[in-house]
Amino acid sequence: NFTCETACGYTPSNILITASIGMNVKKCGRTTMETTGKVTGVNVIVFVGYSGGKSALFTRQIQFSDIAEPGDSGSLIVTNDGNQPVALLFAGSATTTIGNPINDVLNNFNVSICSTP
Amino acid sequence: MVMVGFAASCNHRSVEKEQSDQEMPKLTIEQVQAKYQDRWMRIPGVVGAGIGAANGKPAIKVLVVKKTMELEQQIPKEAEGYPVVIEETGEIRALPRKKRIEA
Repeated sequence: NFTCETACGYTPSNILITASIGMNVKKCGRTTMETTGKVTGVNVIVFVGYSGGKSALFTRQIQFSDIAEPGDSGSLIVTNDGNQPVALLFAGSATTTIGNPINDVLNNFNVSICSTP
Repeated sequence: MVMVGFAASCNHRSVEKEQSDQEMPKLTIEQVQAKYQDRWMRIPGVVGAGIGAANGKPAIKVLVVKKTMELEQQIPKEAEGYPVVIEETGEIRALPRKKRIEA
């Protein structure tokens, strides 16, 4: 039987929410499983390093406190209460985590949140 | 009538200045970020910029690999009325999976 429940025991809501500074969030990731944190920056422009010494410039990104390690990319970042999707986790450093605003992701790939309990 | 008389005798230059201040509203924090971020992003060691909060108030953040004296001299503490804070983040990288270490 198919379920959209994460490995951390919660199911994302299909009601998206726009990130705001101080918002409490969590994610369920392959490397660090469930971690919680906060939105610390919005409208972020950022250089992101990729292997091979390459770098890509992203705009309109969301910054979070450190909630991820390598391997957590692709995790859905949701609100701590209500599990509302906020961002797609894809980058970070020892002190911070960066995500794409979820609305841009869904529109770009023409996909929707899996939220069937 | 007395008020009109008083206004007419005010210093004409101070009234003009007040009118021009009212005609030039403060830019939004997003507008100030957009105005300065390109030049800040060109400074070596700067990896990003965004809007956050400092001391409970909106602030423009400049993300840097390492906070150096040189960067503190090149990046202002304030831009057009908004605080600018330097945040040391280290290099920001994509987070693909590491090779699993077999026990």
